[in-house]
Amino acid sequence: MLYGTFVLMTGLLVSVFGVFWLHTFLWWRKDFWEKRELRARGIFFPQHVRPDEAGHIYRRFSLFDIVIHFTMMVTFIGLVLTGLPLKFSHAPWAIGLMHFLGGARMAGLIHRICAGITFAYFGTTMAYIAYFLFFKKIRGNPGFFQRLFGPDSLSPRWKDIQDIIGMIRWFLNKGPKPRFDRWTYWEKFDFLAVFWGMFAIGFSGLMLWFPGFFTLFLPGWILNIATIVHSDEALLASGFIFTVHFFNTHFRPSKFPIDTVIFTGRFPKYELVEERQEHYRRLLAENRLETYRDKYPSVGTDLFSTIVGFAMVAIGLLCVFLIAWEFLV
Amino acid sequence: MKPKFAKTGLFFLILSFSLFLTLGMSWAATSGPEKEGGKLPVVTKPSGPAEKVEKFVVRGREYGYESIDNSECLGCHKKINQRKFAQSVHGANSCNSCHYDITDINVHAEARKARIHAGPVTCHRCHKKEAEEHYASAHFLNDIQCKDCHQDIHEMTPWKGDKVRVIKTCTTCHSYDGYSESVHGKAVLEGNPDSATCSDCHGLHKIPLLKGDEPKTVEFRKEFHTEVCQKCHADKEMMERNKVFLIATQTYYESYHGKVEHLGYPKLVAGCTDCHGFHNILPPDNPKSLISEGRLVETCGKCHRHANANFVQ
Repeated sequence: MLYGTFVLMTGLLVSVFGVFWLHTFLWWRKDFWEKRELRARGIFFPQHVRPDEAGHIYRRFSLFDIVIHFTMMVTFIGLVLTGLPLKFSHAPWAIGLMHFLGGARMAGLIHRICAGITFAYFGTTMAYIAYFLFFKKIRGNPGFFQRLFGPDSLSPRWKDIQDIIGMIRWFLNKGPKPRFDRWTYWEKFDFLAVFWGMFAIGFSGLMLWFPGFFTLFLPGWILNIATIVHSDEALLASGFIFTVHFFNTHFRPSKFPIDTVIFTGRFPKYELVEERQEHYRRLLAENRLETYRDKYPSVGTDLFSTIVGFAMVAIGLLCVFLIAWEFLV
Repeated sequence: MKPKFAKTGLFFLILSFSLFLTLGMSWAATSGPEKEGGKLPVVTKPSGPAEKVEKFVVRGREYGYESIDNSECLGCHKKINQRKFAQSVHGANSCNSCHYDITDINVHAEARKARIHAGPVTCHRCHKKEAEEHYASAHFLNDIQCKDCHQDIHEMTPWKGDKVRVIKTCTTCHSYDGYSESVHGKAVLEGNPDSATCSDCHGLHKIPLLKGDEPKTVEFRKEFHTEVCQKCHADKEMMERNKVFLIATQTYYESYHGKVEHLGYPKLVAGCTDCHGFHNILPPDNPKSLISEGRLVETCGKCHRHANANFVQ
């Protein structure tokens, strides 16, 4: 049973990373090539916006989105840093890192505090989803299914499948880049992976945190399974975020070195037009584009976004390095 | 590039290159011969009055001492059996190689209350390693000297690693504490040289303090609750020979307990002995064992207060 769990989890990790790292590589190649071609032709400025409209800024994320993402980011890093030395306890850096965190007891405490906060924002997100699906005032008052599968939803839909196929074609120089609406399929996957991760990691984590309670009605060997599930899922989540998510959002040649939109909440018009064309057209058609118009981010926001953003990315890369060391050395 | 600029640049390039080259070569030349020179000074034996007196060698050291023939001592000290002494491990020594303060037998015979240095003051002259180990041990700190364990000092034969003798020696003072029924104890008493006797865990002379006065350091707990077991239980060949669960240490270190212990926090988690016991280690099918089904809840409950029957499954 225990071995079976191990096999299953390893299989899951291998398949997810296999698929997404391939996707990442193909995307990188295409992006690199396209950027090269444009620059070789002397094109440095975005093409799809008039020069006098270049400075127009539009809001993408609300304050709520920003706060939740920041909280999630910090607690995620906290969880990963405190969990890594335990999972890879025989690695040469494990003792040092554990010592840096203040010892096993302190690391455990930090881990549980971050976990608690994670449950909190998970609950908040669930509440928001309920609000979005049932209560939010949206123009035209769409029904439940229209909301769930509409363009503003994070739920996968038919268009995402079409986009994936379109992207693969574009990677292989066989078609144009697809036109995306508000949420791209990779952003949806990032969201849903964490969503699913919450159940696996969160639930197994709770079992390990309160073994006495859970063994009141569950057999003890479930704790061994919980250990495997918890640590392998966490490896999957952290490995995915620090490689695939970082690439998709920050390291692609067109975005490098960092995309601060998640902290500023705003992006310039050319990005809206070039990268979210469906969304742009929909807003124009509904005459709602200018309601999203916003000011250029303040100095404080700018500094915070770049510095904190970079710090998080750096820590994430450090974690990848530590994990990679474990598997390669 | 302007011609003048290029010429000056080239000139400086050649100059600096040749400068570095000569510097480097001279540095290399000077550091070479050092490695071959410098011989160690030869140790010479001090010359002295030794030529006139009978010399004998004890453990590679020359003693230019006037030794007293053993039969002279044993003429009075009848309790010591001369044959057994001759067959003992010290048989080649004279009496006053240990009892070195007896230099003249007549003086000794006439003096009342002749003092004899028989304790560690004498043993360490030859047994330096053991003396070093003993000096910091729990025994020494409790004023237990060489003769207290080595009571048969005049008849001691080489132990040749006989583990049963070790048990006999230790239990002259210490209780068995369940050892004789334990897996280790039974095996040693049956003659298995692989099994653990007192000295395998506690050491022979370097016996550290444990209960009560135990230095409350992390390393100590780590050592005595877990590390000391690894000497044998991590040796796969030995375990296979004796049909012991092969991957015990491996699975321990893969578990949460093992990981935290390895990271250096043994006080927080269970080591080997916390579950399996110290001296009374028994197989799980023995109901007295700490890891038998009936006692698991109690054993795990030592730390996990809420442990119930499900927990230990």
